[in-house]
Amino acid sequence: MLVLLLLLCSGNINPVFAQTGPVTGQVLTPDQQPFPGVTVRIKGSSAGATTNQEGRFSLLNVATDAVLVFSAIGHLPLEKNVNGAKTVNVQLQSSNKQLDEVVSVGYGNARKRDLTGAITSINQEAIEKRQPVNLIDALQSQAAGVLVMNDAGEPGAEGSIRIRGFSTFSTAGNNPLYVIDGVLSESAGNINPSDIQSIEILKDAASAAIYGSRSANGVIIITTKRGVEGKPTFDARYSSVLGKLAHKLRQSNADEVRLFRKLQNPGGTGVDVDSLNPGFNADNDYQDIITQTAVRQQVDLSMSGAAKNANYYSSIQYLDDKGIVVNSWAKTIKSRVNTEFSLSDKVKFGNRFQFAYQKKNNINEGNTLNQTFQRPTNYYVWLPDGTLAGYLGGRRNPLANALYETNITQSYGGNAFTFMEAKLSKDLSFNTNFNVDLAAPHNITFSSKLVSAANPTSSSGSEGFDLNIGWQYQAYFNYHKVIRKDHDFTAMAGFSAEKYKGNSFDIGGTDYVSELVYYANAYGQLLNSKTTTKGFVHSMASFFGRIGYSYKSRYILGATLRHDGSSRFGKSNIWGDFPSVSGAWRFSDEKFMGFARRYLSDAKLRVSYGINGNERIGDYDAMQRLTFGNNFYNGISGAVPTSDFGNKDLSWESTRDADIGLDLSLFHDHVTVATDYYVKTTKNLLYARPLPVETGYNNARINLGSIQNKGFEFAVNVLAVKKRDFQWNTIFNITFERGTIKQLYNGEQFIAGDKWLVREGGNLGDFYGFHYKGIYQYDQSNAYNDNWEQLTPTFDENKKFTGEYTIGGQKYLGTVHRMYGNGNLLKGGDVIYDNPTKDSVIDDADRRVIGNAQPKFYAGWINNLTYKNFTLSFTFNVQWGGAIYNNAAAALNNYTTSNIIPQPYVIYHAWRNQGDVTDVPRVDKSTAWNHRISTRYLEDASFIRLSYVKLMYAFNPKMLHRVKVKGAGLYIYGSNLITWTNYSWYDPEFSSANALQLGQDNGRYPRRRELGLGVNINL
Amino acid sequence: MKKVFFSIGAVAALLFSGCNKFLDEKPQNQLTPDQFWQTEDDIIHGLAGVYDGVQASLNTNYVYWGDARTDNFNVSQYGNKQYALNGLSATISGSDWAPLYVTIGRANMLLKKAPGVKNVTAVNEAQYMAQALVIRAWCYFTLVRLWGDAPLWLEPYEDLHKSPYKARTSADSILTAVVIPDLQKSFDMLSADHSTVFNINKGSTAAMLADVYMWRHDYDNALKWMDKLTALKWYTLEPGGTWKNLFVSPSGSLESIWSLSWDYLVDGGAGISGLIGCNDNNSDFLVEDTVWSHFLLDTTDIRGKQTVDLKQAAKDKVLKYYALKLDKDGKQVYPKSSETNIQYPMYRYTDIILLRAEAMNAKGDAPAALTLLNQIHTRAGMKAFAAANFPTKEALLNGILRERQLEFFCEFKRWFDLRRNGKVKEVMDPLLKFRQVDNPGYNNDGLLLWPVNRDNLNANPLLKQNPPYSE
Repeated sequence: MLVLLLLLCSGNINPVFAQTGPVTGQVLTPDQQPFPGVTVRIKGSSAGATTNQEGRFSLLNVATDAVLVFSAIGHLPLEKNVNGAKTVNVQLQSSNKQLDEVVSVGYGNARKRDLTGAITSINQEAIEKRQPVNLIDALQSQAAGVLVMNDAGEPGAEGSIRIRGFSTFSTAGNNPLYVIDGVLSESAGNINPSDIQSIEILKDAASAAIYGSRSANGVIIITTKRGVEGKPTFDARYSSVLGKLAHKLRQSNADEVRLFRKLQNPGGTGVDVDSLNPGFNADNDYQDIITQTAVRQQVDLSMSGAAKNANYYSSIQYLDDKGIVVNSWAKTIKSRVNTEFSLSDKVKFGNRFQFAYQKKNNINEGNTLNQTFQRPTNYYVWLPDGTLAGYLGGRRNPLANALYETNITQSYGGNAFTFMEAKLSKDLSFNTNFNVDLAAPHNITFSSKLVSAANPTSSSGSEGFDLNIGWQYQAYFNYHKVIRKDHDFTAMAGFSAEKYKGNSFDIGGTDYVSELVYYANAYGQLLNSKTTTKGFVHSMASFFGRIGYSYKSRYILGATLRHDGSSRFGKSNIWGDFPSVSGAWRFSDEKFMGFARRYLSDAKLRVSYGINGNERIGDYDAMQRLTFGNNFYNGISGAVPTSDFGNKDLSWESTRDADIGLDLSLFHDHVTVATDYYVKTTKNLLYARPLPVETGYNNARINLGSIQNKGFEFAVNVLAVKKRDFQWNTIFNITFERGTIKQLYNGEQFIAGDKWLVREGGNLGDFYGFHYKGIYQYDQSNAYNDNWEQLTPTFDENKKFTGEYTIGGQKYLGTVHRMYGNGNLLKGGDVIYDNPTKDSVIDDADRRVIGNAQPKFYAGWINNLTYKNFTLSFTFNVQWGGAIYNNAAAALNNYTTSNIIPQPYVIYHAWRNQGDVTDVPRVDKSTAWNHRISTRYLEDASFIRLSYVKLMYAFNPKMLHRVKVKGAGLYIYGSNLITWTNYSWYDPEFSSANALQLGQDNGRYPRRRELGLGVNINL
Repeated sequence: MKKVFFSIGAVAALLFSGCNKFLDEKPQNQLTPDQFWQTEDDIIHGLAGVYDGVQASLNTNYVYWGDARTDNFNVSQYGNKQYALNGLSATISGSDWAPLYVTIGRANMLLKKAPGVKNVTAVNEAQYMAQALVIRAWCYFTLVRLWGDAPLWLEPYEDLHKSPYKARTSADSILTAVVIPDLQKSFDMLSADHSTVFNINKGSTAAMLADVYMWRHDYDNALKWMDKLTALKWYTLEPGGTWKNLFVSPSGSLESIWSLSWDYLVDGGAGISGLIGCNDNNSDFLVEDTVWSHFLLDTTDIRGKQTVDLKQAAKDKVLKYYALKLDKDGKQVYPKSSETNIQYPMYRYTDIILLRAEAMNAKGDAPAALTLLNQIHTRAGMKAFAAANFPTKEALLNGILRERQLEFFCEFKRWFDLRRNGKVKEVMDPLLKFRQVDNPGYNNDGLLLWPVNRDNLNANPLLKQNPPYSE
């Protein structure tokens, strides 16, 4: 589009001046690279040109006294007097002034200057400084109000993105909507970050409402690259990144295992004491055994160019990622072809094709990483003959499971997008496009005989195919009219329809003919119970429109409306309306602000209000359904109602969001500030209301309830130093969010999982359990006064209990009350839990909210420093407050299973004898009451992390020119380098799969610390 | 320009009208109720779903409910000790009554919908309805025996606008007003078809009624229904030599009254195999010494080596439900838990004979009771008891219960036998104190019931926990 406009401009060169001549030159970027696509204009005339791939331009008929104006998006415009020179070479400096940048706002573009909503843009440069593997990497810490949880560690993992907090109870319902080159999509997993030209994050309702029903959690608009005019350009990039486990956790060694055995079984000889049995006399460091140095190699090739009537961009990326757990790997190829053709001045059409192929092996965390900690370290990993040991003592061999349990997914995905743009008149344009999306993952699991727990051993596995296909059609008109120069009107109206269809089947079997063939035809036995097929269809139709008015960009008004229909809702509630209004006032343009103009170059106040929707529920939740295939009896396949009760009245969830924002640009645009305050309220909350099981159903999806999020976002971008050789640009953003559940069905609270309370006045991620107060020192310490305050027993010099109690130093003479747990009289070594109900039992009634999983605030701090040919970028990432339930540790330390060994601290500090002062309960097996969900495992999730560092050296273009290379750079890159946290397990940053069960660490695949090298070459 | 706008409007209007149809999507691999309940086949498939609910209810609970709390089993290091220490909690496996209510819900649906299905003969319709009624009665009988009072649902839940919450109905009125009348009605509705032991028929209905009356100590009525069962002339005792057939091929035995069909290929492995013996899991339960030593020492009892694996010194394998299959060392080979077929026996004729003995003894007819007891005792290869062996009524009752314990080891009977005869405290307290010196034992009658699962309590505010359980 931009190129096209520029092309049109350059065609209008008009010889006007008398003393004229041609002028040529080269424009360089701040990093000394050739700068293509820069507009060069002769001041005071409409004549101009654009630089080509080498950053060169040539202009005819330039007056000797002319002034050339160089401008490019994201850079300070530069004016240069020609002074009769024939060659003008310049270097542009980057600018924070992005106000004239054009950003995508959904079904059209707008100048950043005229935006009325809270939109954050991220350009290609900011993305490339990360060396991102996926969109999560590219976006982390880049924007206020966008919490990105990076699961970087496992090859092929994706992580999560939350815009402005949790607005609903379902996980899918909290994901943002992605719009990739105009195509609406629920995920952006296939996008290659190197293909991205720009990302716009629409955070407030008014901006996002144009996407109606799926916009409640914000919209991420991704625009991919296209070719620019000039000779074809060829980019090659290669990087190799090494990763290792960021830190190891201390595990009980073989001696500690034996000590624990003795403690748990004091009279007996202990288990595993046979000193000649090779099975029990190893001392393994499992973490060493199952981890390796991760290696990630990435090759990116791209080619692009443009001629008068066409432009193209094509790229291919190959990513080979070997994870830190042995045998975890992912190989990915992504390719893209973007083309655009102009049929005439008025009609343009184009295609965008994307194809991605990934093959990866997932490691079963439960059978490897968790076994690493659970399996006694004295068990052998290899048999004396060197082969791998299998299942032993109810524990899996983590190495054998990593190597011999296969879970390979091959995904094939692609989409083809075709669009046409027609200018119907000077003011009116018409766009229409059609997209087809295809995804066909194929999954194979195989578990070798070697890791089989059966006796005799047998192999087992499954094979599954999915075929998901969808199409999307859009058509819309854009109207733009400027009346009397100052009155700028825009309008847009359109229609879209889409349909997604999916089919899948899974076949399970056992006793494979060979361990070399994993396909279903190798099954010795087909398992009907593990063989299923599924299918779904989802369709939507929408009508949408937008109007806007701007008076000198000083007073700006906008409104949108979308009318959406979805097949997921009850017959009477198919359609929903999603309106928004917004306004902005550029008060810096007012006369009375004249005094401030020296410091304040631009200031805009924004106010917006809008309603967004959410329809991400099951495809058929509005229907009562009968299911079959898993309910056989005596040779007949039973048909039974699903466990979810279908709700025929099911309707749209709507999120109302009021936003007030202030954008400031200070000190000649050296400092820009964007700040927003919002109140976002979800109504008609779609959630699975638990039904009493006595109805025969588990739950019903209903529209009732409300969640409110309030937040404050602040982002500042400072060009701190701007000299010829040295530049320092720093960006800081911080976000405060508070969510409250306002209303639930009948006000009924419910418990999600076993440790999260969902209640009115609470928040998502409220942990529910007991306050852990310590351990009874003596049997007699279990003594309370009438008010349930603990008494202190007194002992004589022989450490014999005197029968007397004191409280607060005073002798206690009243009745002594005792505490019971599970019907047992609690004694020395048992846990003291808080007893808010003041009765003689610790039971469910004593549970309280003991913490919340969500951070109090999160922040990002990005720095870019350029010194001559060197550029250093680094990012700090902060999450503060919030708690994690360390379930990985809790599962180790509950003593119930002999062959799960607790952490060393627990073994050494467990209460052993009367009088021991400790915080760890006695090691008896059957003491479930000492292992309730409590503050014992609730840990502070706060962390500060140096998450990305990249140091780049750009070769001098002059030097490169001799070897016919346009540009080249070398860089070193590091990620997850330093983390400051008190969290005791691997890493406090991870995404939670269930929005109602936030912040539980079950022993996740650990994050890597990475260091790598890379090279970029442009030809 | 006007033309353009006009055509846009026209297209939009056209689109809009077509949209509602475009947005009407039906499930792909499921049915909606209005598509179902149309033909007799639909009833047959619906009924299979009802039976499937019983399978799911007993999959593992067969052991938890019937034997885990009794002197049949201790708990191994791999299981939850609380079963052996009378320390049930609101989250323990077995405390969730949901699978029984799911079954009730399916039965209620069938009872409501089947009469509306056209072209079904009255005889067939009665067969389907009666089976659903009996299964529902069995569910309530089980609920009442385990939890006491229970919420009563006799209609399917079909409208979200109606409250889904129901408080508990007293156990007595559930038995009197629902279970007994439904079973009696069904007995009359059922035909003489008894071609399969896997489905409910007149025999299993009568057996269940006898069981219900025995539970209520209504011996006259119990005997009446045992007589009706005997009068069918369908059942005889399996000879001692082929006793094992009852468990490995119940359909081939004339003693079987009702067993649950199981096929791991479609149902998955039978769940109890993971608790009592399979080759890929350590058993949760160990055979308790009282049973173990009898079977080990009294080799004349043919049931011993066909019930528990005496070659497993750890006492952790019950081989009752597996056909004999020995490896080269003469040890039983167990299937994988995911590949076990266990045809859970529900009622068999021996049960009726020993219940009759219990009833006769209760009514004071010791000789008749002894004769019945000896019928079973001698079949097991042992010498008949003499009257002198049981000097008192109590002693004879204990003798009958002991016979039942050995005969029905791990058959979902022992806990109910102890409960029915008020023997839980007498039998279990010494054992509990032996296992754990300071175990309080059954010091509260409330402990005779199961705790209500925490999830069930959470989902229904009208439910109260069974005291003294608190969590």
